[in-house]
Amino acid sequence: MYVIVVGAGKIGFYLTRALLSASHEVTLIERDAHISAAAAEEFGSIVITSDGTEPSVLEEAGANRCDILISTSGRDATNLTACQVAKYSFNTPRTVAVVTDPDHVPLFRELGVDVTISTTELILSHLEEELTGGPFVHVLPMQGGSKGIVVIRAPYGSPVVGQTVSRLKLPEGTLLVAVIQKNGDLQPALADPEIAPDDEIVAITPPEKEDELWRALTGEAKR
Amino acid sequence: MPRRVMIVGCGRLGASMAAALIERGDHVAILDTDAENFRRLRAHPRLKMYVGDGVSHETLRSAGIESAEAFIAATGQDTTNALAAQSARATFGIAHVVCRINDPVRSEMYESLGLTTVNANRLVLDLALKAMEP
Amino acid sequence: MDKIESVLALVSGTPTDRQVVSVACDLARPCKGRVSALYVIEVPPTLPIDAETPNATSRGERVLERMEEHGRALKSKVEGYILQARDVGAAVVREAVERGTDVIVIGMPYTERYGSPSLGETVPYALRYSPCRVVVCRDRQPAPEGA
Repeated sequence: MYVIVVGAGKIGFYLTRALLSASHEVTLIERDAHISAAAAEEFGSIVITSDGTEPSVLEEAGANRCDILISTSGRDATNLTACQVAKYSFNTPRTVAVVTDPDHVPLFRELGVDVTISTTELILSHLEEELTGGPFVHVLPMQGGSKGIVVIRAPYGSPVVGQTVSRLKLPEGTLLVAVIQKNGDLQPALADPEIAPDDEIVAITPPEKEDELWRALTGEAKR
Repeated sequence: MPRRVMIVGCGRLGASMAAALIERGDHVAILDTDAENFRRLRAHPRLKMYVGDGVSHETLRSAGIESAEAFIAATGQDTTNALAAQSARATFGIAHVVCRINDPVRSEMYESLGLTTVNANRLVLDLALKAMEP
Repeated sequence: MDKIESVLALVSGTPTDRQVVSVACDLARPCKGRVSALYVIEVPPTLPIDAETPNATSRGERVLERMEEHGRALKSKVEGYILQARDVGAAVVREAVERGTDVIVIGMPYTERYGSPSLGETVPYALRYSPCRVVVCRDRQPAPEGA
C-alpha cells in the first residue's frame, strides 16, 4: 500500500517506522523543519518538509495515487483539513485522523474522515484495561470494527513461551503481526522470533476471536 | 430585524466585522484565544467577548452558539476556520455560516462541500486587477 | 591506499560524466578492478517507484552507452546500469553498500543557488553517509561573463 502520513511527531514517527517495516510505501510530511530533519535522519528521502494541509503539497506527495492518508498532528484542525483535502481534492480512498478533542469524533466522521483515532479515548480505554486487569490492549479498530489490532503480553508460564511464532496455533482469522521484545526491539512475525516471557505480541483479530486468541497466547481465560 | 452573530477570530477582519454588525443593530459574540486582540474593539451592550478556542465545542457552547443565527470564522488560519465553520454547520445546525479561507484550491473544495467561503486574497486581487484596467 | 577492486561511477548526463568515468577507470586500473556506471532516474512521489519511465530510461541508456564507449577508449571495461529511486544520494549509497564498492566517484557541475555556490543534495548526502571512500569531481567555475 502507499500511505501518506501527515505529522512526524511521536505518533507519525513510530507509525512511519512500523509501516516501512511492514514493507509499505510511505511519504511523511512535516511542517516543522527541526522535527522533519530528525525524521529524515531515520527515514531518508521519503520525508517532505512542508504543510500537509496544502493541496499543492499533497499533490506533490502523490495524494492522487495513495491508498490511505493518515494525519497525526496534535492539532485537530490540521488533521481534519489534511483528510478533507485528500478526500475531496485528490479522491484518496481512505483517510484517518488522529483526534485530540473527543467532541470532534462524530463531526469528523460526518465530514468525510473514514477513521478517527481519539487519543484521549484510547488512553482512557487503555487505563480501563489496565485497571480491570490483564495486559490486553486494543490499539486500533479497523474496517469499521470488524477487525482490530491488539497487543497481548505473554506471561511467565504461558504455553507459547519458548516457541517460535511459526509453531503457534492461533484461532482462525487471526494474524500475528509482530513481537515487541522486552528490550523494546520489534521483531516482525516473518522473522519467526522465539517468544520470551513478557514479550508483547501484536496481532490482528476479529473481536469475536479475542478471547480465544487471549487463551492461546496466555493460557488463561480472559478476565 | 437584529440577529445573533458569532464570530471566531478577533483579528483585523473579525474585529471590523463585529463593529459593522453592531452598527447595524445585531448582537455579536466574538471569540479569540488571545484577550490582547480584543483591544481592537470598543465595549458595547450588544457585544460579548470570550477568550477561548473557536474549534472547541465546549467553548462555542459556553459562548452561546446554540442561540446564534449566523456564524463567521475569521481567524488567519484556514484550518482553524474550516473546523470552526463546519462545527457550526454540522454540529450546531447554524444556517448562515461564512468561512474565511485564504488558499484558493481549498476554498473551491469547501465551496463544493456547501460551505460559503470568503477568500480575502482573491478579493484584493480582483479589485487590484480592476483598478489597473485602462 | 588498500586495493581498489570495485568503483562505482555516478553519471547523470552532464558534461562532468566523462571525467567521472575517467577517474573511476584510473582508480580501478592498478588492481584491474571493476568499474560500474550508475544512472539514477529520480521518480517523484506522484508516481510509483516502479513506474514506466520510457523517456528517462532511453536517455539513461544513451548516457550509459557513451560512458561504456568512453571506457573502451581508455581500455577499461565499464558496465552501465540504471536504477529508479526517490533520491539519487540515497540510491548511490545503498548501491555502494549492496555491491561492496570500494570507491564512489561523483561529478558535479559548478552551480549557484540564490547567488552563492551550491553543493546540491547528492554530494553532501554521499559524503555524509557513504561507508566507502568518495571522490568528487567538481567542474571548473565558468569564466566570468564579459571576460
